[in-house]
Amino acid sequence: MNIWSMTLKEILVTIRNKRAFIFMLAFPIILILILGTALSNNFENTSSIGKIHILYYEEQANSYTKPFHDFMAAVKKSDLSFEKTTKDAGKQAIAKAKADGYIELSNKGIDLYVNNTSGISASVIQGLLKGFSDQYNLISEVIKVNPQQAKQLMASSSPTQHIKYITLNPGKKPNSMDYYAVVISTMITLFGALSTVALVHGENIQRTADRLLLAPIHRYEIFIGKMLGSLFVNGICVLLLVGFSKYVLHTNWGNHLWIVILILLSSVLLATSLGLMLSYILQNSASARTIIMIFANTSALLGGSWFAIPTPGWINFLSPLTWENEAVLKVIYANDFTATIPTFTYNLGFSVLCLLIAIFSLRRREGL
Amino acid sequence: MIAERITLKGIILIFIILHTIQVSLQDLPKIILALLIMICINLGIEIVKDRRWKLTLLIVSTVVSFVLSQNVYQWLILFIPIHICEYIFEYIKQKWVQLIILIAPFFFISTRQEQFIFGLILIFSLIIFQMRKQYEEHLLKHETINDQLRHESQVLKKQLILSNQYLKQSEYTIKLEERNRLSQMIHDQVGHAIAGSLIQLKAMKMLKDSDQEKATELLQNAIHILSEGLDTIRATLKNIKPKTEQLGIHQIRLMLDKFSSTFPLQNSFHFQGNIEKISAIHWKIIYENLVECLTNTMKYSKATTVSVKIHVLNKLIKIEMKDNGVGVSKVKKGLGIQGMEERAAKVHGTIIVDGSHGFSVTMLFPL
Amino acid sequence: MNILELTKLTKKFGDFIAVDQLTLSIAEGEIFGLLGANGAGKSTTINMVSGLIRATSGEIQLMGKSITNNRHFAKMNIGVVPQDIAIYEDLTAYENVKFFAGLYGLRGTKLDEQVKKALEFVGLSDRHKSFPKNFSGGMKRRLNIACAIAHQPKLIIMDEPTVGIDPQSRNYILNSVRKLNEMGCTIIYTSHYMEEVEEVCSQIAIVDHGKVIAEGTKEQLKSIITDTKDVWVEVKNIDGLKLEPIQTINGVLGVEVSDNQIKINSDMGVNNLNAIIQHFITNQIEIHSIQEKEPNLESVFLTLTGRSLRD
Repeated sequence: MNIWSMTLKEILVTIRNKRAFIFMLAFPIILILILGTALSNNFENTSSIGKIHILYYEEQANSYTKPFHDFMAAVKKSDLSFEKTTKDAGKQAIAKAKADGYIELSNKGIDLYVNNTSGISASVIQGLLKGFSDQYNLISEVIKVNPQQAKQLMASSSPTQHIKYITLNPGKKPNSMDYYAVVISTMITLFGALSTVALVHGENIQRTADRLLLAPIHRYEIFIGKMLGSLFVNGICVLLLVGFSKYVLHTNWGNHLWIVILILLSSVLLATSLGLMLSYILQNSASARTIIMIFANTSALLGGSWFAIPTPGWINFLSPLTWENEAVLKVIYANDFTATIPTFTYNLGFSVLCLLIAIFSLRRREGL
Repeated sequence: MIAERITLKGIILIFIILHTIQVSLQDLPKIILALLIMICINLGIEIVKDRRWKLTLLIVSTVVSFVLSQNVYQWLILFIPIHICEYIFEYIKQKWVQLIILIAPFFFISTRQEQFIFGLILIFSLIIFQMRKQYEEHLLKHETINDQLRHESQVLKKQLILSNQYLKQSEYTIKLEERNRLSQMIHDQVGHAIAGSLIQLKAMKMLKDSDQEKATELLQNAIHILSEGLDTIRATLKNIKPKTEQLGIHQIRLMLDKFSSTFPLQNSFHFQGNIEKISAIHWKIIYENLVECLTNTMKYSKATTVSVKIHVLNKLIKIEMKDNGVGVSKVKKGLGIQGMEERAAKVHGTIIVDGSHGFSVTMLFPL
Repeated sequence: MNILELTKLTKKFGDFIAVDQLTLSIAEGEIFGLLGANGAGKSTTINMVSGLIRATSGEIQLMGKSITNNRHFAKMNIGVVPQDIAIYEDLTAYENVKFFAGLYGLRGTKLDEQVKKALEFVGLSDRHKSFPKNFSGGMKRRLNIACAIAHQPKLIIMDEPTVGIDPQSRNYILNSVRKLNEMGCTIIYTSHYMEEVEEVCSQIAIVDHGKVIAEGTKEQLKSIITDTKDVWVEVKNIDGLKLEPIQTINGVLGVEVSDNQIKINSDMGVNNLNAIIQHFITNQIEIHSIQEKEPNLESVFLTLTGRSLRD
């Protein structure tokens, strides 16, 4: 019961603190509008790879010859062309970037030469060749064990069956407004930690902390009440934001809105726990705020909240926003839930960690 | 002035080196040789101890740098201003020679630019040497004062020892005098009474069989004399024995003076109110606690004065000891303060220790 | 019966001893004044009694029960008016009181009733829907009190409840202190304003460096310093005044004359001002001014601690 009145009080206090509340609501909406319109160009262009020109050279007849020709026949689509050449001419062509790749087949194995500047085409060739060599290795392994079956396999094989293509539906790619609606929503959940800090330190600033401690209630009741109040307020903010962007800005939130909302709420939990931890560890509200600002802003930068990050590296995955954005975008645009559970687990895990630290530091001190 | 000379010359050296690097001259080996020669001579000046050798080398260095500046590299002349300063400050006392030495070089320097830089460095060096000189004079003055003070303190110490001896001596004399006075008093009053009654008693012994009436009269006389004597003795002793409050105050004053004479600590002692209300047990506690406080003050406070105030109020005695030392921001309760508290507790008193403005101990004893 | 009993209460912060073996008992129904300069240990003592900080050693008994073993009981029966105004600016006066009273287990209509009662008591009934940010300093102080009394505690601790407010609000607060006392509450009152303490408190303790150095009614405290008062009479012409008859007036201890001023030293317990004036009148001596100087709490405090309260 005490927890409930604490929670209710926190909600009242936060909602009546108009400045903070407007910041929580108006700031992200304005951000979505600005970034969505200003950076819309980045999302209209799809970069096309173009034709890929591959040279190859065979050293007489060797064990690869047959499978490789089968492979060429299979992948020879309109965009891929193979041309036979000599050993030196092939390498020269690569050095001068006249071809995208040069493949040399010998008894020792397959050598692939690509030019560093070829970029994505080189990656495509590498991928194709990897698929081929995987399959070839498979067959030769089978030969070692059971030659009879291997023949069968070779006879029937066509490499394409063994390479899985996943294509995104090109008609369902996010436009800039859609993208920013998602990433700003996830980002704004992190900034919710600020209002949590304000709730805890507000008691010290208004001197009401002592009064709470004087009352016959447990400190954990205060703690839980604050947490629930903060969660509720931050959660409501995000829900309002999602609602606004969905019904006013008509952005795409996909067909599984409730999963998206769950992911966002887990992020709210993470931010709230972080805010609680920092405000209980650090007596000073200014330093807690600074840390949160730094954390939230770097996370936003790394997580693609300002500029979309085409190929996230390991450093980007340090930001919780990267996981969250990936999870949410996959749910919306690919109906793909593979990233949902890990993201959920990370958020819950880190929240529990933060809460434990907060509780630990609460136990060690005399005040609130 | 070694530090100044070397620093200045080092600066000039670095200036010349930087200059040669920038301008990239053709006869670089020659310049390096010249610089090395200059370094050698100047190090030589610092190494030799004899004043005449120093002067000789200085002159050599001056001449060499002038010759080299004319033949090898013009800026080598910049060593000369420092040399000039050395002459002026260390070797030449006559004002007019100093003036000549200051002005003369300018006639030997050909270009305007060289003259300008030469002049600048000369002024700079002069300022530094002058500052150093003043500083040294200052130091010398302080050392003299210091010596003087040391001497004075020695004299004073001697005086102190002497007066301490005198003090002990006079203390002993006073004791002797006092003893003398006491024995005189006992002799005069007790002796007389006992002697008188003895005679009476002896007479009575002789008469006790023959004349009973007379004997009784004599006995009565003896009793009378003895009881009179006893009264006098009581009165005398009461006169001799000092009053508690006098004793208490004097003890404290004595103790304070003793501290002041052994340590550089001035004291002041005030009392206010009806001092007779303080009982002997209070005095004892006050005395013991004050000794404790003063010992603490001596050990830690770096104080120069200490004041003790005894204020007797209607139902309370307040004793305050305060020094003007460093105090402590947070008073730690050691054995000393605990001891004071325990003593005060015997008379239901309180001790307040404060270290915020110097160190102060306030004792409050209810009456 | 003693409502509060502190026995050898000690609080150390590291090496610093804030409260030092403090022993004090407060009888039920008193308005108990706690006097002491800043840092004397008043607030620390109050914080220990109210349960905000733990004592290093010693015992606190509230109504005969040790508060360390009966925390809930103690908290239910103590109301603290903190020195700093401790209210939520974003809650209305009513919501503030209701929130804090609610923490004491009050619910429903009983809660509503007591909240209204507390607001009425401090005279904020008509403003119960306003936000404290629109309140004057005095009104905030009053709301601060209302938040502490809504759960009807037996012991109310008021820590400087009148700092920085206008005289009217101060009078209002002093009156409500008396009213609370009449309603059966025991009150511990600390203040920088010596006059307030002198006016309202029935029992006073002077605290310095964590110790009680004097305790009693204000008369008892004054008599520690002295039992006498001085009456200064300034007359136009001293001729014809006989001093001996003044000596015989009840309670007079001594008379001194300097110029046209007569200093009459007299017993503090005796009211003989009338008799003294009468004497001058019968002798037809014109009085210019008459002044009675007796020690007040301020001078008691100054004499005992060597510093004034507002240092």
